[in-house]
Amino acid sequence: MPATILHARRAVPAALTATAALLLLAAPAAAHVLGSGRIAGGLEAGFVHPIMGLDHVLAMLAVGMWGAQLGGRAIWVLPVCFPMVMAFGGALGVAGVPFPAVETGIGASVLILGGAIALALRPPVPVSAAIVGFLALFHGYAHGVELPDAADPVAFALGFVIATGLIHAAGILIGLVIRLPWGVRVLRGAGAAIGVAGIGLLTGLIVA
Amino acid sequence: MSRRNAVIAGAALCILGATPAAAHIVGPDSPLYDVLRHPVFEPTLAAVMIALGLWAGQQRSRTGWAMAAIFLVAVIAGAGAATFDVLPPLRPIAVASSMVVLGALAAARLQLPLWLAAALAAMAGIYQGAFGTLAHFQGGTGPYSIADLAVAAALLPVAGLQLVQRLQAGWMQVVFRVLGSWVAAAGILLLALLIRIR
Repeated sequence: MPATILHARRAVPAALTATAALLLLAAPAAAHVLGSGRIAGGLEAGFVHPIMGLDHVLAMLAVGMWGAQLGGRAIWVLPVCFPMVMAFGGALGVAGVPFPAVETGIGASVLILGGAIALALRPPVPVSAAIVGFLALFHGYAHGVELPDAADPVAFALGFVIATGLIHAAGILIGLVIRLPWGVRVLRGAGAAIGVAGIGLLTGLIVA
Repeated sequence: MSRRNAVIAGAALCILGATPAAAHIVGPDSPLYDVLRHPVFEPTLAAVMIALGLWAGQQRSRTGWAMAAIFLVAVIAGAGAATFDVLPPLRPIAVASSMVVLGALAAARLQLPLWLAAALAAMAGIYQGAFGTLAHFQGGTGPYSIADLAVAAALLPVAGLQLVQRLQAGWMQVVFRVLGSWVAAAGILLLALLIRIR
């Protein structure tokens, strides 16, 4: 057996022992713990907020997926349109402006967006943007009403919007499956599943 | 001593002799470091500067660079005026409005005439300067404020401008528009929160 291999074999147990010793004696790292500071606390609270509700997550995923399915300009128009109109809805909620049937609207948004993907609906981009924007109002309003007095409102708003945008991005990435030979069916199937979840949310069978 | 024992002994020495990590030695107690990091880690200031940079990058090259330069001058002017207690009205609301306007313009990739783009950059800069300087004086770090803001106002928008102008791939331009929409959306929410607080 070559000397280098023998050498390496001897070195492995020593390295493992040293690693074990380091691991056992290691103290917890305390650098940059998120959530303790004013800005980090606000950013974290805002970031987590949209992720906490299944209805919101499904709708935002569906926005990205539908954008990817429509392709062309829609792939960016929908994710650009949604957060801005959602924020406007949030502002209405913060201001306490009355808004009807918010929970129904949110459930319906999951059903409509999922249904649009399942049926592969292809309206003109302005129409799809208007649909997405209208549905975003319900989501924004619900978030706006629940907005806590965050440690840092700007960080909260940024965290909230970034999380929303990242879920859209995840939806777009899922939607890119359409480029694969079997992707069209998979995407439409996923849309149908989201639509069914929307029915569950509307009927109360699924609690977000 | 065998190699194995030497490794164990070395590891033990390292662990037993370890002292607390002393990175960030110029931490919160250092006024210079505090003001240098302020515009970068203060979301309002950073968001406006990033949005301005993105939008400037979407303009014609001459307009974009003019915007960045005018913004820098305006920030220094706003900060300088604030040190003499000359403050523009409605500062927080104006800064949130800057987020909305500049973010929306970047999202729309709207090209405006030089005079109008420059006017918007100047307006945003004056409020940035005043807002940032006021925060420093409240934190007792005022003397560093103008230099600090000037550095950030020179670096962040130019970084955004350069990114947009150099990364010409179609999907990158989409990313920049989406980033603009995020700033605008955060600005809308912030406006609502500010109005509620008032």
